[in-house]
Amino acid sequence: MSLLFAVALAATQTAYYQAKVTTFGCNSIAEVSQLENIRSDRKAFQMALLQQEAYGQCITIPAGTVVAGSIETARQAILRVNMQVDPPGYEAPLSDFELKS
Amino acid sequence: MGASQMNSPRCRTTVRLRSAALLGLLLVGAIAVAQEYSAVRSNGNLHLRGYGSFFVAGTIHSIDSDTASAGGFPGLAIPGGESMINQMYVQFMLPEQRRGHKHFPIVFVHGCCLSSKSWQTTPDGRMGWDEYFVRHGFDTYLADQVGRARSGFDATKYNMVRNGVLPYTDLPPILIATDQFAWNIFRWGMTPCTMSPCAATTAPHPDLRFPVSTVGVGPGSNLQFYNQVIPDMNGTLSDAYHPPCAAAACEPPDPATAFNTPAQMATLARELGGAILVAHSESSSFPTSAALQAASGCYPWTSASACKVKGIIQIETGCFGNLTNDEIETLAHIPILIVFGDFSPTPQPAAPCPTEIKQITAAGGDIRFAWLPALTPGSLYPGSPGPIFGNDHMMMLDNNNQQIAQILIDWATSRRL
Repeated sequence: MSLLFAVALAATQTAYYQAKVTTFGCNSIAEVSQLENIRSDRKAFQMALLQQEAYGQCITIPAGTVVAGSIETARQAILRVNMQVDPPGYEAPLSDFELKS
Repeated sequence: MGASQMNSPRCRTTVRLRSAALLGLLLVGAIAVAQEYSAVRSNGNLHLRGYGSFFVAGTIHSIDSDTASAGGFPGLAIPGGESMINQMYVQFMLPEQRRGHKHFPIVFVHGCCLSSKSWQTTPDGRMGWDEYFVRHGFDTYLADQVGRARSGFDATKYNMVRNGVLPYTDLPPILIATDQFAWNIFRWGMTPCTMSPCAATTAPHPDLRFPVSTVGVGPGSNLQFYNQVIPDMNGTLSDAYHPPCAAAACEPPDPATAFNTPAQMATLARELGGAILVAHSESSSFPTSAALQAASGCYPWTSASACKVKGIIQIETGCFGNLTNDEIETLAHIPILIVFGDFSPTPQPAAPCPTEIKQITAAGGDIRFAWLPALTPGSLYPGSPGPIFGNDHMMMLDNNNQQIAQILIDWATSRRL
């Protein structure tokens, strides 16, 4: 129960996360899902991400970048980053980040 | 000349020299054609009440002498001290006062790999949007993105890597757009370009309105457009992405610090007393982000007079599917126009634009998506046109750029902006 509570609490709180790999953030969870679905195809993923960046929908987040993030309540695999400095913030794959204590 | 003679080193050298000479002549020819000042057309006198430039202030950071010099000038150490980063360069033209409705100032921000040149004279010498808007009574401001062109960029990390203070993996990436990038992202070709030069390997759409003579297509063509494609230094931006972390605790970044362009746009809108924000491509989401910055006076929403983002125009695309209710409330008070051109492989509006349109409309807002080849007459404002074909991602440079600009002007006028 305490673990569930901790996860629920983390989901609502903003903390600092660091990108473990070069990753990306987008303006919607749907766009993140679309890109994640093709991520295993490196060339297709890069082209799709580049297109999304060129259309103002996504950004690249370099490895090592520290972001302020909160886990999305609706999709706990998604981290909402930089809501304060880049409103409304970007949605990013949580698995690409680690909590920076 | 026999086969053995043709293959002799002397013959091969002669052939190479002749080829080099021929290539040189061709290059000279291309360079001569590429000097396009003569192609810049006169549009008649332009009467201004003001012209100039300024910066939206950046932030000071301190660097030491080693970081300032980084061996660039052997034996000459540049003293350490304070340096400016995150500033945003803005130039403006103000038309003479005229009777009738006075528009709000309009601010243009460019996209990836480009600069405010996007809004200026087209690569084939025609009037750019900046002049067109000025001639139609708008105080017109062009802003170079933070970290780009005349706004400079934060070079600190490059020198720190050079000095061995940081590992090379800390080098900020630089995006260098190639002809293949342009042809594919800007939707010029009937098929994707996978081999350069794209002008030789890829056929442009027959009805494409972009001046392809400036990207090497056709007799007498040049490469003038590529002169305005410059390195994208956005990888150098934002200490927001690297807040100081000491003793395993990260300090929160100051949300009021101008780490990037949207924050600067919010400040600019406030300094102008209210402005219409226009952005393109990579920056197309910036006006919305600017409106959601506290500096704009729009968020959280209090009143129309307090909110200094008076209108938003997004050129391909910049929609959001993650707006909070409070953010939707703010955006529901700001007229928004999103414009998308032709040749899209995906029907428009594409996700997440329908989500944003639905949310803002449901909240009582005014948001329109103008997919040019699918326009319905009267859908944007009374008398707005029907379908317009042939525009690409760089519609501000297309051969009907004035027609598109007029749509933006008429939309703004219809909203009393």
